[in-house]
Amino acid sequence: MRTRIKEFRARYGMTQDDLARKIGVRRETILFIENGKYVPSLKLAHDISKVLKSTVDELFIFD
Amino acid sequence: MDEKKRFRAFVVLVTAIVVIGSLFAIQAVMSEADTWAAVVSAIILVLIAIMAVVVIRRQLRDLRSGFPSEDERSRALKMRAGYLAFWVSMYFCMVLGWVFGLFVDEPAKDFLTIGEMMFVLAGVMGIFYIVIWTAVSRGKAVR
Repeated sequence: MRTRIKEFRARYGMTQDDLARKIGVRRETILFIENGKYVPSLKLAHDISKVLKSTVDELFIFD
Repeated sequence: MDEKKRFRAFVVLVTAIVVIGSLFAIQAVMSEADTWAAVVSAIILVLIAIMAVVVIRRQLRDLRSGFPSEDERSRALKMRAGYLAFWVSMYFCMVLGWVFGLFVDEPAKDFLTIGEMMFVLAGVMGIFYIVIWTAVSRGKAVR
């Protein structure tokens, strides 16, 4: 799995800490999701896409 | 349970374990009959205390910075590590049983008392859990 979270974060000038705080998870979780080492639940993927004003399809790319 | 209550409950639980363990170790030293039990329980207590200090420091830092001490990934990690540690410990006990049954003539009770064996097994299970958690947390895709 690849993600475009980093790209979208940069677009809104958000750090991993900011994003983690907004969706109520630990910073490591964002780091692991960004690196494709953790596949988030549908709820978390939805929350991330909402904060980054995007869609789950746009943010997560399943090869 | 909110974050602060969970943190307080954890501190109380760890303190209780360390106090009860210390009493057991002191009693074993005072009775002068069982130095092996005192040494094992002292080692386990020190390990628990070190682990507790690390975990409590991390939880305090998270509480102060506003991050949750637990989220879906950390829960998934705990479940995965617990599941694997359970199976590894079970096979470990089975292999140990076979080795003792086949190659050790003396009954285990002459070597260790039942209480000491329970201590050792609990310690081994704890070590398996920590090692597996560390491996799983660095690995790829928990689920």
